[in-house]
Amino acid sequence: MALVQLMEQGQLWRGAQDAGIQAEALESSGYPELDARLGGGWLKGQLIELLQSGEGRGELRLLWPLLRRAAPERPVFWIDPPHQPCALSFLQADIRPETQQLVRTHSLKERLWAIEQALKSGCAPLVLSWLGEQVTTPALRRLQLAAQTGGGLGLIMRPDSVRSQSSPAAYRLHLDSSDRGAEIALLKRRGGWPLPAAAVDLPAVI
Amino acid sequence: MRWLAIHFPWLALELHGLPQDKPQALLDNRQRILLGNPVAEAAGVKSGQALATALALSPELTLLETDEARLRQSLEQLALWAGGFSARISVCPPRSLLLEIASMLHYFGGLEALLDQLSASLKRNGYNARMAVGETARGAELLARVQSWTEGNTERWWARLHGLEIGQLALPAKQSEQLRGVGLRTLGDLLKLPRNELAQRFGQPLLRELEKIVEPGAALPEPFIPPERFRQKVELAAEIIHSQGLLFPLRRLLEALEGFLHIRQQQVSQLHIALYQREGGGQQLTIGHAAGTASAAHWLELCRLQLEREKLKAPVLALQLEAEEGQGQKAHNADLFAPAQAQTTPAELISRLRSRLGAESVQPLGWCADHRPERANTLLGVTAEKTAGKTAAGGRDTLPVGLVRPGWLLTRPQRLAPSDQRTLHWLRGPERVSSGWWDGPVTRDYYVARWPDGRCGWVFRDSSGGWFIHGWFG
Repeated sequence: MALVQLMEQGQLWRGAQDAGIQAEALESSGYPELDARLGGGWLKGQLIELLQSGEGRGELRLLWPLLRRAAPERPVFWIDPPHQPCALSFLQADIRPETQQLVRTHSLKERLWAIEQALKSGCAPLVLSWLGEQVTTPALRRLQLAAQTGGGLGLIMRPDSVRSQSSPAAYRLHLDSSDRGAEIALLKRRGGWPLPAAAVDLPAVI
Repeated sequence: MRWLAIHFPWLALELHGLPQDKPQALLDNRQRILLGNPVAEAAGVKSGQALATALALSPELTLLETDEARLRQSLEQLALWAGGFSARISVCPPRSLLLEIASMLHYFGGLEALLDQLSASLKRNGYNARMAVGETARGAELLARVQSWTEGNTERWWARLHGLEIGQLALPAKQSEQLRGVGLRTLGDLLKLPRNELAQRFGQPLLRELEKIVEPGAALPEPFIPPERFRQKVELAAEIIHSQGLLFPLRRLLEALEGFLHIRQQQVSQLHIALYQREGGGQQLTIGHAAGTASAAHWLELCRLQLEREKLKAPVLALQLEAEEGQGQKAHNADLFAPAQAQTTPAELISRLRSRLGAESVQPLGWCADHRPERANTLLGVTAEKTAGKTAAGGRDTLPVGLVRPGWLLTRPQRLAPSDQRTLHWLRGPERVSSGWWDGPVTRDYYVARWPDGRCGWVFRDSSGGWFIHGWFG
């Protein structure tokens, strides 16, 4: 098979020199230094895997700029978050709590179904979900396809123990924190090599 | 072209909702065959046959009985369904409907498109029908009893109408006999005779009947007035054991509901399904749609999801569908430039999720003014949702300033081990929260602390001196 054919099918992509991505297909992360490393922002209709060990490293503050853009007619879906999102902290960050739809399921099967429905619907610009270690690659591939169908961003938070597993998600990030603040390593991204950990300037806690 | 007659030759059989690929026949009260479906007819079953003969011809024959009242009821259900296609419908017992279509042709994009949609919908619901268009209502109805007629050409239609035989005009049997006795064969023959002579010889009623058939403006059929509220029941011919089996009879009811709502320009947001079960038992299902819809396809999808979760306690004998009072439909025209991506609205998505996961499973975030963090954070329930905008907007004015709240609240505070406590780096505090003497008093000192691995948490010490984690700064 010729290289051109592979590229047409999207199985092979060019590195950073390819500037073929339209600006409107990108969603800014709201952090200029992260946008620069992503090549302008998140590519819409993709799955993003965010790996971290334990909550409290800045995963919500990373999303604030995206959450602020949510409107009632295009709500954000939170599927099975590990804790209760705090409405008051959202209001303080100028995010409307009523545009955040909280979804609770009873089993992994239902959770995957709900994520897929939300991604596929095309009415949710951002779908946040939490998955553990026991998710299979075909299940993730389904979600990546659903995100492509719907055109929204699908964010999956997973423990960093799955770092060595391969994943069909378009982006893979590792979020870490230290005294100096939060750091993000890009384990996988569209149109480029993985990038080592670098600081992101998240809003301070206090 | 003004009228469309839909004739249901096998309605008495089809109303039972059994699969039509098996031989079925209707019995009269003298145990003779009244009507066989096409499969049974192919096997040689004819009307008037003795039961024994029919069973010998087709051993698998399913025998059904239908009374007048049920036939009338299902015809009215079909009249409700037809509301989706025309605003003026007449019921012509025992087995026909009349739709005024002149005004609808433009909307549907021509006669052919309208007929296609009608046949597709009938097929989905398991009905076989003959459709005939006509210049006069009665003419179309008589023609549909004999054959389908979907040509738009007026002249040919009149020619065909005049070719109807005397026996096909639904005149009293005695009169048909008399007419045939004087050598008349078709409607055309009859119309050639001078009217006054006809009246003298056969009486005024015949003249009036002929007028109905051939005069486009004469005596219009009485319009069907749908009931104020939608409540329809179907008896099932065979007991249904699996909840998924209810979908077929439900589809018929939901499509009738769609027509019913369409004619009133309404939509509903809640349906009640009552299942009547063996030994007098019953089960109730309530299905909701967040924004309200009239679409049978949407409702069917929601029913399917809900029924997947539902276990039937006993076999179902009958089911009834009742719709809550409808609300006015939001003006929605099929949008030419509708965005290609948003095939589903958030309300539809939320309804779908709720149908499968339960009504309380999808809730928007909200808050109320309470000093206790766990109380301030609430979910706006299904009912409160409609006022959500207001509450939140009002809430923003009274937003407490200077308080630090974490993004994550733990559902239940976790005890902090003393060894962990020593490693924490204290960033801020204390903030005294003391409230709720009326229901669940709370006295706590809150601190913001950083863990050695860089995570930031929200911890408190309660009045007894115990340390707890209550949130994470995500």
